[in-house]
Amino acid sequence: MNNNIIIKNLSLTYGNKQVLENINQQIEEKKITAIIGPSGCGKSTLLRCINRMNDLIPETRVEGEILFHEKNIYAHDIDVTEIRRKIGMVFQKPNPFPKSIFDNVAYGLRINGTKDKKKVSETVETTLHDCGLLKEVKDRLYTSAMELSGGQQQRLCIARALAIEPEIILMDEPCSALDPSSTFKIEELMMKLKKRYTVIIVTHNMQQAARVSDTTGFLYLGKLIEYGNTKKLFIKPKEKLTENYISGNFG
Amino acid sequence: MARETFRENIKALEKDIICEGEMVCTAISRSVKALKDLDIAEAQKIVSDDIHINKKRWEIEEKCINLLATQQPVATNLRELIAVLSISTDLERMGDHAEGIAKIVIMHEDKPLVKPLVDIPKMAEKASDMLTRSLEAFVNRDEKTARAICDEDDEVDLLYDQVYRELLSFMTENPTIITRATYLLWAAHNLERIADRVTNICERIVFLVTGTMDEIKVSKY
Ligand SMILES: Nc1ncnc2c1ncn2[C@@H]1O[C@H](COP(=O)(O)OP(=O)(O)O)[C@@H](O)[C@H]1O
Ligand SMILES: [Mg+2]
Repeated sequence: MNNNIIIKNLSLTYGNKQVLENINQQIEEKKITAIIGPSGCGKSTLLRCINRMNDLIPETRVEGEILFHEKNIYAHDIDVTEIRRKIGMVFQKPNPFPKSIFDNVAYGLRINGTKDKKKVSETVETTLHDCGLLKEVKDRLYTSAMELSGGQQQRLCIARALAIEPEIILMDEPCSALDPSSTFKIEELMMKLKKRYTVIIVTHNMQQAARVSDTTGFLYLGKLIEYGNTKKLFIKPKEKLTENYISGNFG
Repeated sequence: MARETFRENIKALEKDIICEGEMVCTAISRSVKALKDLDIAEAQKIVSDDIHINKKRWEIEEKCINLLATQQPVATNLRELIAVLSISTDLERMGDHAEGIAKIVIMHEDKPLVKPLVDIPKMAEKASDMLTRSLEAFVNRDEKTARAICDEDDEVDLLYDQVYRELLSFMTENPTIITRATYLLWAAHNLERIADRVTNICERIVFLVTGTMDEIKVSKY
């Protein structure tokens, strides 16, 4: 097993509110890891820890370590921008920039210093293709991304995240604003992505976690209650709490 | 295309079913040949080879359980998985019937057959042929063929009747061969049961295509 993210004794507080409590988790390379759990249990917070997005929230205190290629991303000498380049993120609501489809995908490349126009346009094209979007948009690459459907916008955001060649993609409820057919398209895309990237997805839709992920973690009140093989977790969970949650008998 | 992955999983399961079906056909023809030749060594091998069919069946069941637990199949996808599960179980039981014939070979020890086999090989051939075509009908979702195959079960029942009457007359003529004549009757019975299980498969195909469950063929036995 090849881990490229190892979370060690991670705890997080917002002000005096403890949101994550002693999380330990090894995330396998080129697999899909899902984090499930009821609303407010800390899924998004955990995900944001992995690329240090929580740094942007005031009064956040993080304890413990997250090792990325064996180096703690919370160490003092870490280049946070570099971490965020290598660990990309896709959000719940598609958030394309109010620019053309082309520029949305080219954006990350340009700010990361790629000047070669030919290289930019080649990368934009292959990335759109990889995201199954090229066919749908190739005649209107220079029209505004805001005119795309919700599902297309989300695939565009994934393309934008991929264009800068990250190693890890974090997805925070990427389908919760989408209809079933767009959802299945994104799920198929995730299955394709894991050949090249490590994907970590947070979802309150446990059926989605079951369908797409290799490994699932169940988070409850800031604690990682159970973490392991998705099939095993959905067929015979180890913990009663997990069983109750996935069967819908909570409380 | 959405849910391509699920389709691929179903296709792979269909291949597994075909493979299990081929294993069963091989077991049937080997066991009937071993009976014809009273080849005890071969019969012992057939008995120990049955484990492979059982393993295939567990493998298929495990894949189905994984898909049921993780993919929430509904409608056609759900019926497909149910069909695979049930067909795989029927196949495994057919394998047990073939093994039953091999055990009959072993029970003969060094005694000869009470009569040369005529109708039993015909029953085996007919049942195997029905089986092969039923699995094709499954892969093609061919309800019409499935129903037609069910009707062919009568032919196997007729052959069984014939074997039964014939053996009965042998037994009345010569009571010393009753034990071995009964063995042959069991062998024929195993084949009759195999054909019945083909009709179960056909009923599953009808359910898969139409969504309704009905017993198409009530076997005479
Ligand atoms: N910026 C913040 N400041 C203070 N509390 C927050 C902040 N963001 C989230 N929380 C709290 O942290 C807990 C976990 O939130 P979150 O990680 O968003 O949960 P989830 O994604 O599982 O729904 C919640 O109780 C939430 O109210
Ligand atoms: Mg959240």
